[in-house]
Amino acid sequence: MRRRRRGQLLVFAGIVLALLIFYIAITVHTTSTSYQNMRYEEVKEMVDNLNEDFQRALKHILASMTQEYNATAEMNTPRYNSFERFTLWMKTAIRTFSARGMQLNFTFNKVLLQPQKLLFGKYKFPERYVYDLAKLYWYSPQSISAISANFTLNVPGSGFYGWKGQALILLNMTVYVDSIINDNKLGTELTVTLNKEYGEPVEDLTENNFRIAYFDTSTKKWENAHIVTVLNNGGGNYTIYFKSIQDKIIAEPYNKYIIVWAIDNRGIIVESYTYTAVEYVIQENAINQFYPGIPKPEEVYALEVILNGTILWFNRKLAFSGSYLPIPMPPVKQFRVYSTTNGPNDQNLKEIPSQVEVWTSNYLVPTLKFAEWRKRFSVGDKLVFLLNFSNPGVYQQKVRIEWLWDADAPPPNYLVKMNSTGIYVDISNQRYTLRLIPNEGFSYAIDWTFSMYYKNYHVEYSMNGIGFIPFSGGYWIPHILPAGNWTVLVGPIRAVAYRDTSRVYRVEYQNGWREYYDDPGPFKHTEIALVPYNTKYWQLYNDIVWLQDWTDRRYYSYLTMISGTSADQSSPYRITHWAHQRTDLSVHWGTYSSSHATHDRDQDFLYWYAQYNYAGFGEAVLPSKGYVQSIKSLVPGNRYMMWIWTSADYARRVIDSLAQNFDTSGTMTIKRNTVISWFAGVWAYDGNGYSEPNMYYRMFVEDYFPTIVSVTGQL
Amino acid sequence: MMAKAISRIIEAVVVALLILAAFSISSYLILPPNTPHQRASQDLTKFGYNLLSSLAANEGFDQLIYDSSGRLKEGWEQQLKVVINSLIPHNIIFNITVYNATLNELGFVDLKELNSVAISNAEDEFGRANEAVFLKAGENAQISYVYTTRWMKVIVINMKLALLGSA
Repeated sequence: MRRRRRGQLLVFAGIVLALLIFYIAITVHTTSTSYQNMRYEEVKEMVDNLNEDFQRALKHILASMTQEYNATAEMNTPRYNSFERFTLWMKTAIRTFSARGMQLNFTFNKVLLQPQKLLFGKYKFPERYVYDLAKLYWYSPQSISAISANFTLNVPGSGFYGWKGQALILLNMTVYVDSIINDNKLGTELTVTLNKEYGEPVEDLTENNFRIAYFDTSTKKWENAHIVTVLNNGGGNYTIYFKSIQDKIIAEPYNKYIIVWAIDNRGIIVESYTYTAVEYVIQENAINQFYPGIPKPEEVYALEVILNGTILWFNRKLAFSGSYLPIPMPPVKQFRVYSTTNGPNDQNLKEIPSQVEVWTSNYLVPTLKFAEWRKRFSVGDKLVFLLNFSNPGVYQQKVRIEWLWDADAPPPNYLVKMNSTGIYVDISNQRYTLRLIPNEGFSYAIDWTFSMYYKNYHVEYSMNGIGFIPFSGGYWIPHILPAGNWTVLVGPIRAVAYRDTSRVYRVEYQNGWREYYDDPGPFKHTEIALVPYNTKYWQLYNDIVWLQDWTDRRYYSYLTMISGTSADQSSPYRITHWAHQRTDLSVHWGTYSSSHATHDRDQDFLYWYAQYNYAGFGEAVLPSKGYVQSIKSLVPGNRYMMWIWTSADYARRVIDSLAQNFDTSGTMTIKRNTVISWFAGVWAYDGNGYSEPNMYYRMFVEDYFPTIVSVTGQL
Repeated sequence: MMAKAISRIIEAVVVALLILAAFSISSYLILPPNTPHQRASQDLTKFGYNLLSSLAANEGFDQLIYDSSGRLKEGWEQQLKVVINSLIPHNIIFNITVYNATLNELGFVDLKELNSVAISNAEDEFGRANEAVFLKAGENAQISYVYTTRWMKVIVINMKLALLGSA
């Protein structure tokens, strides 16, 4: 009995203890899990809000960025604005949630968007990443707009650490270039695919989400096509049918050279081009055929490509018997020009200096936005590049015009320099310096206009001097000449000085010297001087329209060279020699005197005239064929002349290129509506004779201008 | 024998009391973290976030507050109030303040109140949010919600909720 009673108590105590232990364990567990559960739920709502709005903010930032870039054609401002927007959002989030003990940290990681690939077996795409918040890869058959950012989040007060959030938003469009065919009813057919982040297809697009531009051969510019219909094939695939603005089928090959924009319903834009480059083979005709196999280091052309693919030299189209291909209209900073150095079969193309210039829509006069790069390539724009044929025997070069796909491509560097000192503006192209007095009123009685400094000396140039006036000491040349202020603008590889006005400067001697500015004067004039980088020449265009009949004493100069000043009469660098080419291509030369004298009056002149010495200095004017024809036909009676003389004042050395020779015996009359239009090159060289102008002059003569051998597009 | 029996009964009673005490203490430990009051407060917070999140999901705030050119709509406060009112139970009162965030010259965030009139279903006779009603309500929840509009305006929505009859 005693054993049994003791046993009951032990069993009972054991049960009680077990229950207590069990219950305590449950209590501890429930207490601990309940604590965690409660804190988690508080943080979860904030994290959800943060995550959702992070995605939303990045989506809107990317949409705004693509829209701004598409509208402005420059990336700095949209990128700056995007960072500002992101900063605003980030700081607002930090301010809002830090009150709840949240710690936030944001980073921009480099995220691979696309590995290196060969699209359609021909377009080689490098790896594409998104970094620095956002990247736009446009202007190719596959274009991407993407944005990405990361954040880490801690809430120490709740024991919540290490939450990592990432957002990647993108729109990716692929244009199937080989799918482009013409359908007789619906127009041109094109297939595109659009995906967004994580390869998810974009399924909700309609006609309103697409825009297509094609080059219209009738309006000679890019026009928005009429989108006939868009078929949604599922999986992000769309078939687009489009026609011209006249609702006609777009003829080949222009139906294949197109630009496609897509904007998804989030507002994100991509821009794709069906071709990636235009290639030319260009042939020089000025040197190699006359000097076969010798180096010609100064044979560099500042060629200009315009929107329809035409190439110009001195505003003249280069001859070509085939069809041109249009140059697309990306922001001009995207353009890069490459050329061969050893002929068209050279596989090694190198980048050559280029810039885009903004001229009037007829390409004849520069505008104040001459070097504006924050724009798309359009009508009036010239893509200028410096093409070199320097190597011996090389007479053809391949030129490839490309447009970079990375929208962060910077504009080209400025290589031409401009300085302004007092009344002067100096333009330096690294070989010579062209000095102007851009404002009228600082060059008394004669407008020498340009002064070309080369090495240790310079020559001054006067244009369009007309008539002369008698005074007590003799005769003053000229009576009238063009006036007006010059506009001087510098681009990356070419500078321009131009004026386009009817202001005319007139000098009279009536009880002393008098000067007048007539506006309008008897003629309207446009003068353009272009200074290409690192060439030995500058380019001069001159156009005059006479607004009235004008009778004056007999003298009409086109482009006069004057050297020697009041201060340098004993200088060893003074010009000593003159020379000019005759019509039989022989050279007539001679020396200047140290006192007033005429050295030559010659009607037998042709494509160059020069002043030089044997101390390492020379300059030459290389007139075009149009110049020579014009100067020899302006005044009836064959009064044109090359007049080479030394002036009475300071023994200045002069070469006058005259349409009317200096003649005190009577008057001449220029009829109203007479048009004088010419261009010329002005060349600096090392003197010691005239071999350089005599070798290179054909570069400026229309009959020897470069020609285009072929044009191909990189579809 | 009788005395022994009595001692057994006393032992049993003591053990029972011990077990009862253990239960009581355990129950006391379990209750405080999740009282009905706290559950109600959490539920209000969750409800508020869910409400704002669902409105934000399809750019609802863009459509309610801004017009198609990104300017504030006239009478947007009233529209927002109507929408919120239609989405919450009748025993919950709310007061919403919407702020527009901007960066000042020093790079700090300034929050400017956008609503010129109260957005609340507990207004006093002057059309202002009646704070007394919120004070009398037992349970309150305060929610801050960040929302970025299509026109890249960052707004902060502060929503105060209270459960009527929960005091």
